[in-house]
Amino acid sequence: MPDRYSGLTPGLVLGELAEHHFDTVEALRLYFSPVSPHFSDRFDYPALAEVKLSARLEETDARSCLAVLTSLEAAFRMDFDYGCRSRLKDSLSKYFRDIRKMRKSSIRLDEDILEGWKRYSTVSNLHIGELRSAFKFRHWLAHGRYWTPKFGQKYDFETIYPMAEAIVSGFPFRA
Amino acid sequence: MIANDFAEFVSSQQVGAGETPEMWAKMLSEWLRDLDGLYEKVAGFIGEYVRSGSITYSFTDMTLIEEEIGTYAAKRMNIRIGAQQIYLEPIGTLLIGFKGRVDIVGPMGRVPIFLVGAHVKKASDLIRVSIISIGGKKSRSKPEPPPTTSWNWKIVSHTLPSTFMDLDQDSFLANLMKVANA
Repeated sequence: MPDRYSGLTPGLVLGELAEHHFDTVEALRLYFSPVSPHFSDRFDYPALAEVKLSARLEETDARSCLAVLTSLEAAFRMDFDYGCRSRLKDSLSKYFRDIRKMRKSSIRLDEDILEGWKRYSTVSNLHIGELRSAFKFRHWLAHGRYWTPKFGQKYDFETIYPMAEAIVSGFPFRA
Repeated sequence: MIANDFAEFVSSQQVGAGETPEMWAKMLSEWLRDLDGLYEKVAGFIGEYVRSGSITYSFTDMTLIEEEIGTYAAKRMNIRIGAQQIYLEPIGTLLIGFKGRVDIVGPMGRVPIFLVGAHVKKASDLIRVSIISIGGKKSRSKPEPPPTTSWNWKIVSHTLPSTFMDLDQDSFLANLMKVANA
């Protein structure tokens, strides 16, 4: 984790990620439909197009989830950074400053930042557990999906995106 | 007074506070009851076609696994319209901000239906978090939403920001046709 953030919003904002996702899904559906130019040259039979479309949509969904979850992680880390740099007196900011002193730049999202929110905010243990679980999914995606995960629930863009929207608008992030 | 507030705050922050097996069992029982409620509602939406024999429906047990609740059986609704088979597939209940999710699944994809507080119109209505200072006072807070007393099944728009629309006959049938490529 860098000592200080630039203060600029990293990458695309959530709404742009959603637009990119929905545009890509629509474009793929069009590309793999019989009305697409050269469809019959590209696919020997329509069922092949359906199989390929399904695989492309699944991959697009996973990539979009990763983009949203990394953006969400950035929101938590930027708030952490602000809490460390500010002189705010609230318990969470004080906790963040203590953690920064102790762990320097090796700040962990789960054990340090989410733990702070769990201790010093009104967020329920249930929601923190759900967030931790979603970030396990992000970890699996970011590390090449080389093991068989056990998430205990289905994750896809339709769940991850509204969750991220809810957190970004419902948590009192300052950065 | 502050001592009482602080004691309450400390108690509320203990690991697993309130998360007893009884609580998970209650959540599961509510979730299965909510599923039945949805299926009853959907049966009403397609009732006219069911009575005429052009649509039939049945139920199949599915096995779901959720981290805290464990493994359980939940009903899937299978809707047959001629050669088309559409499913109402339960996804789970422990989803952040939502009380449950069921997908309308067809050959052209899936559309989720979420069980959320009746007051929820947009994602920002789902969660409100405040920072707690010693003494139990809240700081850095956003306005608290009204307490959730009733829940509705809703479909999320793909317009931005997302909006939550009540599931009614029109929205259900439109999304059923979407996943069926009608």
